Amino acid sequence: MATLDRIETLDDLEVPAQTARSFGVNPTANLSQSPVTGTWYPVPKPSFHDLQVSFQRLKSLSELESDWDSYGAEPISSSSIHLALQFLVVLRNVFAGISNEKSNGLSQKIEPYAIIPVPNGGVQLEWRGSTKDLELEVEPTGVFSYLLIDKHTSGKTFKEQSGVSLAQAIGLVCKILID
Amino acid sequence: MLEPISNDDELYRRIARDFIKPDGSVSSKAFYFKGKPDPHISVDLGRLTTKQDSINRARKPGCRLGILTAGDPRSYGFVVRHDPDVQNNNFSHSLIEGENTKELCYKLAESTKLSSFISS
Repeated sequence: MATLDRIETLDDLEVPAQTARSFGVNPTANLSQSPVTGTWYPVPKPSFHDLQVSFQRLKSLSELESDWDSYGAEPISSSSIHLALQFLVVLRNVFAGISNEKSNGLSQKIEPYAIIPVPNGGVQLEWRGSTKDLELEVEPTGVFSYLLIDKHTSGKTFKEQSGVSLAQAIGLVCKILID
Repeated sequence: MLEPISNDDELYRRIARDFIKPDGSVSSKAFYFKGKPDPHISVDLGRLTTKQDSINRARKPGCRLGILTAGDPRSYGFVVRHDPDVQNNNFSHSLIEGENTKELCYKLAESTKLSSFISS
């Protein structure tokens, strides 16, 4: 597996082609498929230049030592870090297609509001929307789970689920950002 | 001798710096054990220790001291009880116990106020 020091492009992340295609990304031709119309758009070669804040944060989390929370937490696993990066790159490319259609700068919003370590070696990506917030956990095993917070004038309601697919996870983030 | 804990009692929880979000709020993950919401959350009973002693129990530098009022976890359905840790000579050790979920961890985090005490 590539180390974080030499990861610069989607190719370095070794995203399986089948996985990339299932999210509307053609890894060989650098095309992104709009989830709205199904049209394929050319996108720049994926890099982390527009995900620098997230990249640096994940890099710092990868350096946490055992018991970093003082309650016995495990170091953050390289698989969680890589999966989180893969997720952000795929999400960015999906949004690049939407932005091309609507020109509303959605791709600017994909960097999570916060990236938090999970004591089992996982990573949490958190987005905040106008009416909803999302806490998306990426476990070391590659399993996704989430807490969706619906913000009403009368208070908050919650929905949580474990074992969600990558496609569901992408859909949830889209819901928060487009909301 | 076990101490009764009133709803007004303060509970201290060490919060790793990486659990603190950009706006200064506490992440729900501060109430996880390993990868799951913790059903036995360790805290110190404030009136049986000091903020300095509690933060000094951190095994890593940079932890902040989070303060909860016992009535808050109880209002979410948890039991709060005194549970002295004889092995580590911590008579103030207490537990927030009960079935835990992501939602409840979120609420516990919302109820946690950060003090200025930081472990060195």
